[in-house]
Amino acid sequence: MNTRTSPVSRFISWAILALCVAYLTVPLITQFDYSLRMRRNTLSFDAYSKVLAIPEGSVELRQTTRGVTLKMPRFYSSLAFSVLAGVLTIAFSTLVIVPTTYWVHLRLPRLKPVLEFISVLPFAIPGIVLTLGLLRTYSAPPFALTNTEAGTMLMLVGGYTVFVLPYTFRSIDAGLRAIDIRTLTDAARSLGANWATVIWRVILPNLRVAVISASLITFAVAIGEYALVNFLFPDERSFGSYLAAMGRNKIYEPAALTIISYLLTWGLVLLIQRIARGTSQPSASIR
Amino acid sequence: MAYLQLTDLRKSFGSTVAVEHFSLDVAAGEFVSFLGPSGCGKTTTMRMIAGFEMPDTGRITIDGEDITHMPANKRRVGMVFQSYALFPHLSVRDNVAFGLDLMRMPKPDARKRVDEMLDLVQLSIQADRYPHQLSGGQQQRVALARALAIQPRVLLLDEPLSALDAKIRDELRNEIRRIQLELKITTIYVTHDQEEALALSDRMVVMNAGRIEQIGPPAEIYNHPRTAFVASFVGTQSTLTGALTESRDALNLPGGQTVRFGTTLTHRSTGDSVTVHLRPEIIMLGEGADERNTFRGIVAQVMFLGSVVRLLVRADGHTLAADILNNPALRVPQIGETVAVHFAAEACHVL
Repeated sequence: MNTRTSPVSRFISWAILALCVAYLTVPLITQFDYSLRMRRNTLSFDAYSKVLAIPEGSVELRQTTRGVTLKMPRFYSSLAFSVLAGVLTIAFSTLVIVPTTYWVHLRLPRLKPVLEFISVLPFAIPGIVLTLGLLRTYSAPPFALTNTEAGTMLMLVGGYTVFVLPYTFRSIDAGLRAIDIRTLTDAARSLGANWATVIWRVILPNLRVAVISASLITFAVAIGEYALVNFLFPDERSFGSYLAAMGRNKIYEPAALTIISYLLTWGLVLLIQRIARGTSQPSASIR
Repeated sequence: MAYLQLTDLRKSFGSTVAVEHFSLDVAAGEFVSFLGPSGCGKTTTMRMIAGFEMPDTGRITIDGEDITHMPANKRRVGMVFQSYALFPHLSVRDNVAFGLDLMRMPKPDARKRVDEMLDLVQLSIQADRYPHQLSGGQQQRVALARALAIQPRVLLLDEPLSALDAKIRDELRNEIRRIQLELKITTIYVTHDQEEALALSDRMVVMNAGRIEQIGPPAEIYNHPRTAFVASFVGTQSTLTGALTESRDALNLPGGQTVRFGTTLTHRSTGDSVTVHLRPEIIMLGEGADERNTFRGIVAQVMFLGSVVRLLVRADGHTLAADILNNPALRVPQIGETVAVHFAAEACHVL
């Protein structure tokens, strides 16, 4: 094979790469630059301090009729709320998707195309349609989930599970393809494992990387989602709502917030990668 | 009474019948091999014993207990797979302890049992390694230790050596038999490798197209195959087909030559088509006494197999395989050379 390339084509490839990098980084750089200009004629981190500030008396434990609540500045409370929604979604979608996909792989391979079709539906249907559909169905009787706080949260988590289905399903599907689930299942069964034990102690640990990458996307969606959460929790307690509200009312803080959430996401990625590398065993060499 | 009893098992997948009329009694501590070409139903039968497949009809009992419809995880039947099937995320020790943990065996006892098992398969040093850090042979030893740790009532081995190199395969083969004899564990061994089955088994079950062709000790299967399939599948053979003579102790080949065999076929009539099966080790170089059962032909192929040299001799339109024992002073006939071969009438196997 001829691996030598002409100077012209080399130039073109570099130019395309440079354009792509610029396309991705220039908005980030300008945003960062803008976030530093809160103080006139000088660069400062004032916008960041404003966003991250914890003024005296802003954190307190309050005893109310419904139990103990923790009051925090909005940046932290909204972030905590969305992280909670993310964690619950990860747990819920893992609980639903892993056993389902596993069972289809093992016993109902004919249904794989059906599952694949369902998994791309959230791509094909606009988010607002999904949101309104979910609301109309589950906020009205017989479900009436929005009548309670827990029910509303369940709806949010259920909605997010659907939103991220294309990513989570694909990731877990690929993970299952990479291991010999049939023989591992047989081996575990012959050693006395029931189905729950097989999934929990044999399949799930070998899907660690797949579940983690699915979790990452789930987190990103949960942190930034606006449409569904704003319908379900109109009091703007989510991070997405907080971001939107900031964008409406402030000038420099939204830019700072964008950079912060960008760094948060990266921090999360690194954290998850660290966890994955620290404990997982390569599974590719089983055969 | 039989320890493991399979009675008239049948299993089909859609319109394909995988196993039919399968009945077998296995004594406690016996080593039985299922031998046959791929798709003959040997693995399906084993999977029915393990509980991974449910028979359409028939019965499976272990030590008198009917386990036909018992879930796989309740049977206490150990299994070793061709692909090892070790849990990649667990160390060697944890793999072996997996079944004991599920049995809720107290930790100190489990630890002791795991140590014993690793000692048995000579892998104590590797206890804290992970499967991907072991060679294929070592992985299969771990798999064996894991299956034996739960003290299974029956041990099932599904082509355990197929994925290994020739040398390791021989080593592990001896090891499996040693351990089996030491623990006196009832064992079913599935293989398509006749050499393995012949070397290891107390008895063999030769299968073809979902049915049992013959059950018997290795020597009986090899020396007295009951069907043409068994004769051709187990070992190498040459065949000569012709018409039975009036005396019914010989046949006339289409070329005019007469082949005498040691027995008189009283239940067959003159002129019947009869086939004589000849193992390569009974065909000798040179002429027989009175030129009986002697063929002259041209050497078509010479195969050096180590302990023996196999000649394919083409004579009167027949191909005869003859083995000669190797020794350094042996003069091996060359391809194209004309040689005579003969065989004793008593050594012929007639079907």
